Amino acid sequence: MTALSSFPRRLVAVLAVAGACLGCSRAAEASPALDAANRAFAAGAYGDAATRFQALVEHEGYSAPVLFDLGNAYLRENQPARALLAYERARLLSPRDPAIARNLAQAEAAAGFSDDSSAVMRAARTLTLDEWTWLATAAFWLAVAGTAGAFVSKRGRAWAGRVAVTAGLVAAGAGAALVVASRVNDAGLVLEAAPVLVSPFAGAESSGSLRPGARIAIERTHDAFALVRDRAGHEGWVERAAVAPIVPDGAKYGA
Amino acid sequence: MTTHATRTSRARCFWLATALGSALAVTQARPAAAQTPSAAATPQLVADPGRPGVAFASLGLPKGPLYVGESVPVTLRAYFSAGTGVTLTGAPTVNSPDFTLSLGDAAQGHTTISGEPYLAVTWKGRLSPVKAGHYELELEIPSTLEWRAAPVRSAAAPDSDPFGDVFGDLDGLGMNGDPFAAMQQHMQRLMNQAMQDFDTGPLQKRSLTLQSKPVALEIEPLPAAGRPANFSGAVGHFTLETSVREPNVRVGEPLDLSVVVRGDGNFDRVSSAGVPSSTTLESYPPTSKQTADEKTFVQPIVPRQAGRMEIPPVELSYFDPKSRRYETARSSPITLEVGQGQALAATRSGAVPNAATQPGLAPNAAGEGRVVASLSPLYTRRPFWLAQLAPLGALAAALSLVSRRKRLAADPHRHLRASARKALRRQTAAFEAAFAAGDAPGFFAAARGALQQRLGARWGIVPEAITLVEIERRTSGADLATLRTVFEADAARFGPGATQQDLGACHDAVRRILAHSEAS
Repeated sequence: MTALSSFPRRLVAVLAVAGACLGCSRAAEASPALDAANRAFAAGAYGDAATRFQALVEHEGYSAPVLFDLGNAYLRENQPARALLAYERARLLSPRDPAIARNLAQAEAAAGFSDDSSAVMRAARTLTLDEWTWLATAAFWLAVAGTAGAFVSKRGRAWAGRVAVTAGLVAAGAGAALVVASRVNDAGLVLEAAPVLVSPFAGAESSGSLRPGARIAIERTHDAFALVRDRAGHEGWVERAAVAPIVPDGAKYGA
Repeated sequence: MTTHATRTSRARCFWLATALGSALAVTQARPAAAQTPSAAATPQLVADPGRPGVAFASLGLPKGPLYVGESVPVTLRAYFSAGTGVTLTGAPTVNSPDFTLSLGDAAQGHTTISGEPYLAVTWKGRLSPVKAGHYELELEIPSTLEWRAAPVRSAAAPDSDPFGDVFGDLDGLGMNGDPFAAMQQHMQRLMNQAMQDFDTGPLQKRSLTLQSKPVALEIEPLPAAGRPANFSGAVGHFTLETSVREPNVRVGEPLDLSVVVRGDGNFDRVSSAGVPSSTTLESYPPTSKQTADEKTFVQPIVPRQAGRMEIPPVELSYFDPKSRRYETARSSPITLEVGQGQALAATRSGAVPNAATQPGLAPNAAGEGRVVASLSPLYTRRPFWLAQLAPLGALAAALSLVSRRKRLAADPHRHLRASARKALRRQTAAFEAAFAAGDAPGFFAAARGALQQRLGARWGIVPEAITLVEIERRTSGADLATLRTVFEADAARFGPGATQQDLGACHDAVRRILAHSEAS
């Protein structure tokens, strides 16, 4: 029983170490490129700043502050759809940042939309996908360990059972939140006003149109076209250049 | 492929046989080369209904010149003599590539021409010329005809009394002839005659292309004078109507503008670009669908500004062949009430308020922060799932450890061995302590106890059962002497008066035996 009592702590420690290893993150140092982008922004050259921030993201990787600044530059450049995309990506990394939430709402309003997310979705956004993943995983293993402990230990059965039930509930909740929050993997935004075609060919008939800033789900791609579904459930093909996935390396976007 | 069956009667069979047999020339027909029958079996095919034959066709067209792009009604009729099996092997076609022909489904009926019954197949549709010039228009109908050839009568026609021969022969031959052989031959002739009366000759089949009589057509080009700039080729007479499903919308919400073109003419040449984009609305290319008498264009448009907005009228210019001039159909404008409350959807028209001027925008973040290579969630990466092997392995190891402990705890032999090891360690420690202190009685007592524990574990018996007798039974040599010394110490000189030197020799010997016993 002594060994079992220390097992959850060991498990948490192992998971924490693994998480630190898999986070693939690194502390970034202020780079000259970032300084140049900040200077352009401060000088009011928002288009130039947006270009520099975008290049920084493409070459250095994603960070919430840079994506946030990129969104600010696009919004001040009067490109709310691209600003929305940058803010959404920043929110993926830092979902509890009030500044990101505030400017994202501004960009939505500028694009002619409002946040109509459900309460469940808003709750699921309180943690990042990775945080939900770690929580669900740790709780799952804790529940498994508690269940095993309840079976093998007579003296600690009640205690292990309570741990197993509690951890199981946490794991289920975190898993459900993860499922809800992971819809962002298929989500995208319309960057350019685009006609919706009935088939993925340039000469295909149009069945409607999409406004910049509209949220869509990207089902799959075919050559230069993406099959998208809007909030109302209407499906159609649009040019890939006119839309962008929030998670840029999502599998469905063929990246 | 359509099959038309006509009624067959014995009289019609004879008529058809006569007609086929008298046909000497085929007019307006092109039989298939591979199935060219003999001239005697070729049906008579004429295009003129005034000359009845086995099959012919007629083409009905409005009189007067036609214009390029004009769509005129056309009626095509094919007549097949009753009693002829007809199979249409393809759709009717026009003999010139400068016309487009659109026909509906064939209708079948019966009619009488010059007193002869015919099967009539009728198509109705529209014909449209695509090029100016003079044409001799014909329509062609690929088909297959089936009929029975005329019966071939035998030379000995049964025009006399069918029973006369039999009785005549009997009368002539008297009793010397064979009346049964004569009767058999006569019955055979009667059977042949009956077959010829109730049936006809062999089934004839022929593939051919039925052609209508040529119709002279003069196709005139569309006049250049008075042609509107937005004329796109529509010819006919049309009206235009526009509508939206929801007249009250909000800024940025797309709605569909329906443009319905009705009338009489060539809808294939009717096109509409809808309404153009403007400062008040953004429009996209329309889609279209077409029926026989109307064509509908659906154009997505997005209001850009709140308030009352007017969708401008849509125009369609066309050439009217009846009035022989260009006309323009125009729809009525549509007024929309565009609600406020939403920002504009347009992006680069300049109508969108600049977000830079909006208050409440949070300032830029300082620094670059934590950088990640990918926004893909953790669970989509393989290392994460490989890392799950760690807790899985730890859990398996813990369960295995607990299970082993339980199993060992339930083993009585292991319990005894553990107890012996514990007692041995205790006795050995006391033995070493007594030796160090020079306590001879304590030394020998502890040495005896340690040896009992060790030997008991080695021999598998209870330590307390280890006596000198048992030792002597199982041991020999130098070890036996040492053991005997230890076990008889109380009664020997190694009692309380033993020197430290005596104890040292015995200590080494006991340790050697303990080590040896442990190793073995």
